[in-house]
Amino acid sequence: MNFKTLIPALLVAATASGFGMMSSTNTAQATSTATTVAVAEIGKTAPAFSLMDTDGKKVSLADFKGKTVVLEWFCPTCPYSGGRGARSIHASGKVGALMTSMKKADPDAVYLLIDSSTKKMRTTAEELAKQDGAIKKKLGITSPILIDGDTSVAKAYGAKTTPHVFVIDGEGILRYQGAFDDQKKDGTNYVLTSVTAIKKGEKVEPTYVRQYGCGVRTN
Amino acid sequence: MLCSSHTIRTLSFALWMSVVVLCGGRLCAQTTTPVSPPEDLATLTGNDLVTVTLHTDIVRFQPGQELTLAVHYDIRPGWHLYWRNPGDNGMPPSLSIKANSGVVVGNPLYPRPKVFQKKQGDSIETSFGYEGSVCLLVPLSITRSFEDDQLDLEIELEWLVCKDICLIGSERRDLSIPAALPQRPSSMDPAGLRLIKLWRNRMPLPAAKARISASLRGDSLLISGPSGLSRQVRFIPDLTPGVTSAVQVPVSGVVVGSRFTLEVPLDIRPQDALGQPLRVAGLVLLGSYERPRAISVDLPIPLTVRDDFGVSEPEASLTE
Repeated sequence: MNFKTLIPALLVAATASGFGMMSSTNTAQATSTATTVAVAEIGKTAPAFSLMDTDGKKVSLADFKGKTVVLEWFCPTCPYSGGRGARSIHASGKVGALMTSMKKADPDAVYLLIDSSTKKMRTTAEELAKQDGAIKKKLGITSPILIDGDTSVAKAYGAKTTPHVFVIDGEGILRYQGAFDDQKKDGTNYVLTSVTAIKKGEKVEPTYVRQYGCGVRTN
Repeated sequence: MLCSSHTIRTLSFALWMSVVVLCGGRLCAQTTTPVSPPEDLATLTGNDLVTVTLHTDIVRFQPGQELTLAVHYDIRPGWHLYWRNPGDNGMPPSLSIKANSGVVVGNPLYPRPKVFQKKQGDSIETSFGYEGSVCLLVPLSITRSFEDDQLDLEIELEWLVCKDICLIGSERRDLSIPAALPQRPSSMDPAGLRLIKLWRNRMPLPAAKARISASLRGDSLLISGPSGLSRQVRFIPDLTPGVTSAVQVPVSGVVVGSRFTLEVPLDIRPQDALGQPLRVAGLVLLGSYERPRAISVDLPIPLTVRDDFGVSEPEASLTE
């Protein structure tokens, strides 16, 4: 017996324990890194973007300078977003009702949907645009659906769920982000309260309510 | 250093065994995963992925008695349900229970959740939930003046179950429990009792019972206490409108000897409190998910010392 058997064993053991250490180091780094709730911050300029909609038309945030812009992260299959069932804010008519109320509160306000589901659904931007085009027609969605094929806009905003909404004022400042509503019957719609407050020149409250729904995948 | 041949052989054997132990779990996990037949996701619902069963600790009740309703979710492998604070995404299972008048339905108790983390670009997506199975325990109190000859529960259940995609399941269940015969004690259900005991052991302990102290210092939550045999201590937050962690969760603590300390910097925004009193709450996770210990912390944030710039002085504390 000599060191020949000991050395490979030491090497493999070191490698194996190294993986364990690497894994725990990554976790430690992940848990100790200070990050904010979202990349886009309340009270700061919202990240600029330029995306194609399902009809192939280019839409940029800069197109709407001077207007309040609502961004709603969308997924055609998520049961809280464009999917089927009573919880879907589109299939249940909640977004339709919001459009009517929002027009009264601020006729110039703009409502845009952004779909960053390519990685989650393992599909291409083109295929996703086709699928969203069909859902748009089926559910009678009147707002443009913008395709965030490389998910860079989701990353820039820190969009976490579908639906996760962001309300940006005419100066391009983010004023609200989070949940679409409180999910109660005849409850509060946070998009409407934000749009109304901005139109009236009032303070937006709340500025953040925890978002709900399906996860947005950017990896 | 000199080693005898026997020592080297023993060392070598021990090292190879440690390699087997270190690697084995991963290899087994990879090689024994069953291959499921492909499913049509277009027709799949949350009801196909989760089986719900209801249990109680008694089969006959007496007025004035307290009982527990256990709602047990059996989850398809690879899918998960969420804790009451789902984290970055998801929704907790919802329970709506209607009972005869004279029955007080308490809030469901959630056992310690698992922490799920995924890299998302430059950040980490964190959610909290359950794989395999989970049981929510709902306390029910029957008043002394209760006169009906049976207790009727109408239970509406809804859950979001996720893997790569998320699906909703829902069910409505009815459950009736007859009253005990006059002058007879109530009857227990041994199977229900066993299940409830098993899951009660996974429920977080209140901080005071676990000899944990929690207090506020500036805009930070400070927690300390005995760590037992745990080398890892983490904090996960509850949903507390207007109060969020200012750093990525879970927040790791420091264990020195047999005690731990944890500091959670908070982002306190009264304008986001939705009209509720400001508070910070969450769980201290000790040990592993398989051998769990969790301690619940819940602390009010005094309004009197708050302005738009944060808590100025330590005002609230919760100690053993």
